[in-house]
Amino acid sequence: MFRKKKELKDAKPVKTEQRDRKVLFEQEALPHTDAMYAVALRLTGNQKEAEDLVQDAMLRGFKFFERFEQGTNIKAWLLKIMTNIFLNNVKRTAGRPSMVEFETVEDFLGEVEDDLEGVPSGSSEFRELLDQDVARALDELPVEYRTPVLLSAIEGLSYREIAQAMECPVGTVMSRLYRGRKMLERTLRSYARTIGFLKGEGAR
Amino acid sequence: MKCSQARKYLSAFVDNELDVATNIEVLEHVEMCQGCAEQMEAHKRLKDAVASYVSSVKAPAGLRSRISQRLSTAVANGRSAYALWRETLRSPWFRIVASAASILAVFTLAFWQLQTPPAGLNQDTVSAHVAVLRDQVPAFFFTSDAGRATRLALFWANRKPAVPLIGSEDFELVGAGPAEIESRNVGHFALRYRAVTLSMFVFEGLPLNMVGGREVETGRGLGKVEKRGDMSILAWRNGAFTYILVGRISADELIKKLGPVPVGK
Repeated sequence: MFRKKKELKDAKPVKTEQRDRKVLFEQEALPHTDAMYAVALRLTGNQKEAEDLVQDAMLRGFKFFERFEQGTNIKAWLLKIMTNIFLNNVKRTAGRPSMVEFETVEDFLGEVEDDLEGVPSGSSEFRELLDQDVARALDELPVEYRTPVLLSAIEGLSYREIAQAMECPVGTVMSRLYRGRKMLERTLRSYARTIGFLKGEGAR
Repeated sequence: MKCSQARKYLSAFVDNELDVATNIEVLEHVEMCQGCAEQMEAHKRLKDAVASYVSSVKAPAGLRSRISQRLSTAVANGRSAYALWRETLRSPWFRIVASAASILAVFTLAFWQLQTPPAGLNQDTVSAHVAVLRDQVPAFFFTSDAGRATRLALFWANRKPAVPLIGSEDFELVGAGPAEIESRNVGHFALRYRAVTLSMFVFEGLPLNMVGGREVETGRGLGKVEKRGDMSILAWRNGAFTYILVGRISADELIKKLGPVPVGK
C-alpha cells in the first residue's frame, strides 16, 4: 500500500519526462519516415513487411534514443538501425550457407567484371526509365549489393555509416557499391533495350 | 594512375568518399581519360537514378500515426521505478547537458593550452588531447599524432566551438588530421556543407602564386579559383596560412558561403 503510493508519486514526473522524450523523438525521427519506408520497401520487396520494418526500427530507435548523439545525422542513425534489423533477420532465416555462397559469387564477379558499357555523354536514356524500372532493377540485385546501392543514394549517408549498418569494413562497402552499380546498370540497359528506348549508337 | 585502377575508384569518387590523395589522382586521371570520364558519368547517373527513385516513394498514409501509437504503448508499458530513474539519468537532455559540459571542459582545457602558440605545444600534450578528443568526439579522427600538421588540425578542431573553421555555420567539421601533399605537411579537414563533403587543406607558408587557377576576390582578400570537372578548388590566404577548399560544388557558392574572416583572426 505504502509502496504503491510512493511509486505513483515518483512516477508522475517521470511519465511526463517519458512523454517529452517521445515528443522529441517524433520531432526528429518522423520526418524521415518516407526515406526509411522507401529503403525498407526495396529491402523487403513488399509493402506489409516494409511497414513492419520501419515500425520496428522506429521503436528500437526510440528505445535507444539516448545512444543517439544529438546533433549528428538521425536519418543515418535510423537507417543504420533498420538495415541492421533487416540484415540480421535475413541471416537468421537464410542461415550461414548463403554467406559462404555469397563470397564465391563475389569472387566470381571479380573475375568476370567488365566495364559499364560506354554511355554516350548527354544521353537521356536513363531519364526515360521510370522510377518503377529502377525499383525492379534494384530488386534483381542480391541483397548484399542492393543495400549499399540504396543507402549510398540517400543524402548525407557516408560509407562509414553504411559499413556500420552492414557490419562490414568500409572497403567492402566500396567494392560492393562499385559492382552493385554495375549490375544495376546492366539490368537497366537491358530494360531500356527491351522497351526500345535505346536508339542509334547507344544500342549495340 | 592506370584506367584499371581508376575505374575501381569511380563509384567512391562519385560519392566523395576517397581519401584526399586518391581523390586527386582519380581527378587527374578522369581529366585526361575520356573513357573513364564517361564511366564516372555512368556511375553518377546510376546514383542519381536510385536517389530519384528513393525520393519518389511516399510512406503509406497512417504509417506515421501507427508508429506514434506504438511509441505511446512503449511509453505506457510497465517500467519499474528503478528503470525510470535510470532512464532519467540516461535521458537525452541529461546526456546532452552532461556531454556538453564534458566536451566544453575538454575544449576549454584544450583552448587554454592552445592559447600559447602552436610551436609551444609539446608532443605529449598533443597526444593527450588527441586521446581525449578520440574518446569524447569520435567524429574527429586523427590519422597520425606526429608533426606540425597535427598541431594545426588540433588547433582548429579544438577551436571549433568558439570559432567556426571558415566562418560560416553552414560548414560542419567532420574530421581533422594531418596530410602530406607533395611532401609538404598540411592540415587536412573534412567538412560537410549541405551533405556535400569538402576537403580543406591548410598550408603554412605556401605563396598564393604557387596555386593554380584564376584570380578571384573571395571576400577575405585575393584568392584563386579553379574548376576541374565538377570539382571546384578555391584557395585564399589568411595570415601565414594558405587555405585550399576542394569539393563538388560551384566556386561561386563557396565564395558566397565563406563569408568574412572568422572572428578572432
